[in-house]
Amino acid sequence: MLQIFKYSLKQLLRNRGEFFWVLIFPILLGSMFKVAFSNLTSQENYQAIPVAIVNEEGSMSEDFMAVANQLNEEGDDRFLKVTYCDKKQAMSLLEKQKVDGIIYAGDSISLTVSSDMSNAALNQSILQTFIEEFQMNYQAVMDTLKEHPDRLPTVLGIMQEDASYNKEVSYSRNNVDTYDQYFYNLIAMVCMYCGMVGCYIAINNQGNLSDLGARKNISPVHKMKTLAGELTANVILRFFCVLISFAYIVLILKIDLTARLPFAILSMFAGCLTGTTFGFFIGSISNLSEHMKGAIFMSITMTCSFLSGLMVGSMRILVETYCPIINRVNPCALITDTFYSLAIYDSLERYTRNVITLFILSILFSIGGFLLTRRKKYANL
Amino acid sequence: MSTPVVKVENLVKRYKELVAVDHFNLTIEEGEILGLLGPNGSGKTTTINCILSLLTYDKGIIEVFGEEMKPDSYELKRRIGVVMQNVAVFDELTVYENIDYFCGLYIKDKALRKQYVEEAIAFVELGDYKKFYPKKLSGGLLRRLNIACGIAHKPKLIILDEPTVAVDPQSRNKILEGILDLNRQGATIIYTSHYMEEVEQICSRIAIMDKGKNLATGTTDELKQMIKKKEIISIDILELSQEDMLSIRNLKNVYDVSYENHKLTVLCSDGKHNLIHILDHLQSKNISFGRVYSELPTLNDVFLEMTGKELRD
Repeated sequence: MLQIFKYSLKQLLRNRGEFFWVLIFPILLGSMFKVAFSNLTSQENYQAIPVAIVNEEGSMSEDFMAVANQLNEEGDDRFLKVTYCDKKQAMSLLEKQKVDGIIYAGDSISLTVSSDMSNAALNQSILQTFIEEFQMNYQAVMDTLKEHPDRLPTVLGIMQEDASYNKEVSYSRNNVDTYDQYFYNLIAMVCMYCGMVGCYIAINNQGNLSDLGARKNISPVHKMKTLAGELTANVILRFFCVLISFAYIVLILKIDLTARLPFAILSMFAGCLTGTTFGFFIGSISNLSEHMKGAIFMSITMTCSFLSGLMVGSMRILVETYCPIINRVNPCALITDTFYSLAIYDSLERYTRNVITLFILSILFSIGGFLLTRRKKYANL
Repeated sequence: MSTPVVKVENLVKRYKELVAVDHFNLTIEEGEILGLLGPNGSGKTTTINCILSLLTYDKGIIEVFGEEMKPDSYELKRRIGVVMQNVAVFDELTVYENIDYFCGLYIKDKALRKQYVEEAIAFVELGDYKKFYPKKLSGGLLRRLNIACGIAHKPKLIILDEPTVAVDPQSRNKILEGILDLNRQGATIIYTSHYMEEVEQICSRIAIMDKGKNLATGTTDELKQMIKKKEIISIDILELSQEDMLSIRNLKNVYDVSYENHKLTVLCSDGKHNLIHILDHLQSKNISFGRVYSELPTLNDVFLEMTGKELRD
């Protein structure tokens, strides 16, 4: 069996075409995901509002300039991107659409915007609200100073309070990026692709489907030994390929999938085992041609990937809502869920259930495949 | 009497309505090279696959080395080498690795296996191609690799199913010499082909199959004795009338006469001095003639007479 294992490993290593699906494809698709999701994330980030401020030296100007300076400070929470200038320069900037508005700070605060800048409507509204709030608070402080100066600290305290009526409570150990799930799905799909070779192994061991199968059948080696050697070689090699893809996603694409790394690695191993045995099972069914079996395998794998959310992120949740049993037996959903469970839950209960299910599926696929290929004598060749 | 290496009794194999092998009988003794001759679809490969226990069969007994051949007869299988009709090797393994892989299925001892692999490579003269992948080999070299994979473990019974198909004359000659060598080393050989000259050249006994039946078995001479045609006489004649042809047809031992392109062809069934009788007859009729040829029947004549001349698949 060692001899069979050794040569199977050599064959698999030299069959470069097969590496595309388990190594090149996930790297390419992962990179595409990264680019696509980076754009989406950057669009979601708040951008400081570019604004021109004209100091008209009035009663409110000094205090407003102090506030504006503070809001103009560099940092993640920068609110305004201020250009201090005179009126003429400010108009020029607005016309060139370099700023979304002009704030005049004098005895009062006023805002000038351009009606041509429909794309800046949201920022213009924000600026308007900001000015109104500033003026209202300024007036409140001035009135308090004039009439009840002793209550000024109370008023300032109320103003500094952030009125929030909802409280964010985290029920998980980590905050998971919405888009990480696509990478979980990608790894799940790659694990299932290990089955392509599993399918060919089944075909190449059946005397009625291939000349190599016939040659192996007339040798004095039990079919079980040959199959075990070849399948083991495939699982090990493909597992390393998946690990390389995983490392690329984590180290190069900087997607953090390393929550409880040893368990994540076990998930990938279970996934490769399930994928290989699933392919082996498909390859063992009936005497359909190699191409037909390959097509059936790909169709089922793609359907499983679709249902686990590779193409539509919410699909797995929809399936969970309307037909949860599919998520309990869909290998792609199970692999995806192991990563999800590791990232979200402190408890390993759900993860363990998923991994055990994957191992049970592998055993069932293996037994099914062995039963279907154990025949050594055929009605026709 | 020693136990036959292969004994097939009343073998019947059906594919639905088609009877592929029809009450086929065959016995092969140790040291023989048995040629299994038959047109396409005559049941040769089906019979081989039944002997190898690859195919189920409907009726009959198959024994190899005196034991019933079953799919799990691993000890029997260890003593059999098969060279399949189609080349069955791994594209991703080199010449050496392919032979080592298949030899490894039979020979566990690493040192012995290495020796056998080297001997097999030398036997098929692929020493210069050890590190070549099958895709880089020509058709003839590929066939030789296929043979090496089947015989590297030094089997006692070697089954070669049309090993020279699509092979150039040089490679074919090399393969045939190799088969004779294997036989000299003690292997019993079953050789299927529809190349008459090959079979005539190397086989000690020939079985002719058609429509799943064993039509005749024997040495080349024995088979030639079984057919009506014993001598073919051809004579160049400028002109010959129908009346003259009829008179020749009526001569003793003559059973067929034809005249085409100024050439008279006379088929004789038996007897001696047929040529002298015919030439005497021509002289008596004042028929002038040129060159004269006399040929004995070939295996091809035997084959065509037994299996018919109609086209097959």
